[in-house]
Parts: sequence; structure tokens; C-alpha cells
Amino acid sequence: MTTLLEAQDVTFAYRRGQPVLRDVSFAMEAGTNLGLVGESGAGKTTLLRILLGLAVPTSGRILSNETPFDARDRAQLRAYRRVTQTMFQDPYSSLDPRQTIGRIVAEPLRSLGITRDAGELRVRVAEALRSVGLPDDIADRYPHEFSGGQRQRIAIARAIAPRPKVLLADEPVSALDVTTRIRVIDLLAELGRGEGGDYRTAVVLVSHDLGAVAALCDRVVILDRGTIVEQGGTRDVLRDPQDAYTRRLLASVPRLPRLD
Amino acid sequence: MSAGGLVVDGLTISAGSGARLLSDLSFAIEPGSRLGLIGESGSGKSLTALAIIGLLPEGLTASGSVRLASHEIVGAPERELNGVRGRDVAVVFQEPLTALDPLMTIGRQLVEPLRRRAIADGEPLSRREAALAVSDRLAEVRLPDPDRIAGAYPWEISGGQRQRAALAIALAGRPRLLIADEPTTALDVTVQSDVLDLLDRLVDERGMSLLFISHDLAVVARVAPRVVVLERGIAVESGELRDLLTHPAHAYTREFVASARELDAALDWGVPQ
Repeated sequence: MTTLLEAQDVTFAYRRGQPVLRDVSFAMEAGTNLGLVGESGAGKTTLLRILLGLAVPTSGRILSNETPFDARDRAQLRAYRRVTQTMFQDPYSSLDPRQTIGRIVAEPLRSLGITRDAGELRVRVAEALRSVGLPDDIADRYPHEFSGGQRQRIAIARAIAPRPKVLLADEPVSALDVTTRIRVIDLLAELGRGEGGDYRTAVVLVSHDLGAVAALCDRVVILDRGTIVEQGGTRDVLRDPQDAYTRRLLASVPRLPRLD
Repeated sequence: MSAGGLVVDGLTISAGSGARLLSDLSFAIEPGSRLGLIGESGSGKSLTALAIIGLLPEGLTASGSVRLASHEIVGAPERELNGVRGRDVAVVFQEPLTALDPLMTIGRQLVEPLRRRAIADGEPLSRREAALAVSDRLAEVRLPDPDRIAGAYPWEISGGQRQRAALAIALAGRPRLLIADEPTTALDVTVQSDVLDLLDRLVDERGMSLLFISHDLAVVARVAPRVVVLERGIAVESGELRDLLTHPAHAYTREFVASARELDAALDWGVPQ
């Protein structure tokens, strides 16, 4: 099985500061979704910046498709972006309001040099929109015409347009209502199963929301104050957490009353 | 209705354009009891809170009736409302960083309502008494090192500490009704759990009534046994939360409960294989 994305002993410190990440190691196999869970100060944002190639580990390294990846090398960064796309929490600020949906979704195809041919762009955009459950005739419309849930679908369409192997999703459902949240999680799950087309995109879900992580991710990494306190199969971690912090986190999640 | 009770009757909120943001909402909270107001974004739940304290944004008008203690809030002059806020009703909002004054220390923001309440009771506080009261109230909301927190500005303390401080400030006037509008939504889950426990205990100890507003069924379930479900400005269902979870009657409530259940169940079983 291929390891799509791996962190090996990643440590990161801002200049002269204490490390905000210490010896972080995990691997994501093809065909699995991975949850990175933590509260404020856990180091999620820093880790995400490193996985996006926006920051470089102070020590340790990132491997993409089993090859070390150096974000300072422009050619490597470009190749990395082709296989690793991203989407963010806020569907209102992450789409440029002055661009049509078609241009927004085509943007990574252009900037990564995948194609500049207008006809091919149209085909790829339509395909991406259809695979997130949106009609392809919305390409001429603008973001303000869509609801929060629809905008997150558009953001997913943009991310998967280059057919990446990995989608880094930063709290993609936190700003959404619970009914919409479930639908977007289902959509992300379909991408991993290859239901969007003849390729698969595995999701790295960075979130504080254990419910969303439990619903989507096969494996989970629990971060607390810059270190991994526990990782494993989501089911095992939920059922039998080994670390004291994980136990406290799980006990804190508000649950619906049991009715039997 | 005696102290602490709230009767909302046919409350309607309209925008200048004539659009109705809330239509004909009615519910009652008996003194010392609790009600959860549940809805997703755009349901009108926060506007309801603002209408109850007479603080609707410019351009929005309320009609119908909101009876709080012996006051009719809808249409009341600002002078009357000023007497009601803090004393009969207080609010804790979602984001304490915007609700608190960034230019004032926590202690100064807390001492003001404490002083006002003491004057209203005919027992004005000396400087020393006021300082002690501030310290006591911050300790009551389980803030560590109350004297340091009293001297701190809102941005100098953590999100959880800010929400505890906001709660202390809301309670300073000894209100009979507390409105909590998504009070833990901006907090980390472990912090949320502690703040919910604190809120639950203080409301109980003081025999306050509580209107708890949230989009999160599981959070509401921790503090309020009875709920009203709002969808796009209309109350679609109300009753005991347990009944609503087992037999949601309205199509919207059914979908809402099913989604919440799906996420909740995932925590037991993990990703469906």
C-alpha cells in the first residue's frame, strides 16, 4: 500500500521560541482518511501550514508519495500542489466574490499548468462540479448566490479539480449547520471511495470536532500542546482511549441523552 | 407573571423592507425554570434574545408582546429598559471578546453592575467592599487568581476565562432571568464542558430562570429539559427535549434530529465500514 503523506519527527519552533510542534510522526496510507484532532494551542494550525508547504519543519521532514518534500524548492512545491489540495473553514471568505464559479474551480488547473485550453477547462470544471453534487450550469454564477453548504461544495470542487491524491481540509464543516454538515461529510467520504470519478482523493481532516472526525476518518491523531498524545484506528481510540488527555477530550464532548 | 418569569406572546420581528425575520413566536418560562431555544443559522434565535432585552439592531421592529417581570418590553422607552437590563435580565453572548469592552479591565467591567445593584438596594459599596466583591464574584465563576484577572484586559486572558468573566458580569446585577446565547460555541470542547457545568450550577443555586440558545442539540440537552425549535423565524415544534428526540413531529425537526444523531452515533462506532 502506498503511503500518500507522512510526517517524520516533525518539530517546529518560531525564531527563538519554544517548539510549538515536537516530534510529530504519522503516516497516511492510500484509501484511508486521517483526522488530526486538537484544541486551541495543540499545534493544528502550524502542522497544517507545514503540510501546505507554507512553513518548513525546524527538524524532521514531510514525505509525499514516499518521497521527501522540501517546500523551499519551487519545482517540488508545484509537484506537491498537484497531489495535495486544500480547503478552509469559512465558505464566505475562501471564495473570491468577483470571480465566477467556473473561474474559481478552474483556478488550480490554470495555476498548476494542468491545462489552459478553454474547452478542456470547461469539461474539467463541469466534471468537478458534478462530482460534488452541483449542476454544471452554475459556472457562470457568483459565490454570493450560494448558501454556506453550497459554497463548501464549490470549495471542494476547486480542490478536487486537479484530481489530487490528498485533500487537506481545515475545519471544513465547522461553520455549517448540522444538517448541511452531514451532507458535506458524506461527500468527502465519497471522494475517498472514488465515487467522484475514476480517481480517489483521501482526506486529511484537521478539526476540533470529534463527531465529524469519527464520521469520516479511519485513523485519528490526537494532538495536545504540540505533541501527539495518541494515534490509531478511530474506532479503537474512541472505544478505548489510552491517553489521559484523549479520555478527558472524549468525556467533554456533549452527547445526546441515551433513550432506551 | 412574578419575578424571573418570561412570557413571549406573538413576537414578530420585521425588517424595514417588510420581510419577517421572526413570525408570531410564543413561549413562556416559569420563574426558576429553563427553556432551550434551538435553531440553525438564520432561524431568528439570536434576534429573539435581542428583542427580549429591547436591543434589536437599527432598522428592525418588534411587535407582539414580551412580558418580563412587571414590564412590557416591546415598545418600552429606553429609560425603562435600562432598569430592566442587568436587574431582571442579563445576557451572555457567544463571543466574549466582542461583548466585553477591550479598553477596560475585567475588574472595572464587573464593579460597575455590582455598584449599580448595591445602590438600587440602598446599600452602596465602599471602595474596599467593591474590591472584595469583585474578587468574590471572579472566584465564584472559578477563575484562578481572581486578583490578577480583575486587573487584566479581556485580550490578556483565554477564551474560557473571558466567558467565565462575562458570566460573572452578567450575574453581578443578580438578574432573575439569564439569557445565554451560544455561550460555549466559541470555546474548546474541554472548556465548554466546564463552563456548562458552571452555568448549570449557578443558575440552580440562584434559582434563576434560563433561556439557553444554541444550534447544538447535545449542548442544550445538558442544561434545558424543554425546548422550542425555530426554523427560518417560525417555531416549528416545542416540548420536552426527550420527546422531541424520540418522536420529532415536524419534517424539519426530524432531519435536524437525524443529523445530530448520526454525528453522535459516529462517536460510539467510528466511521461506518
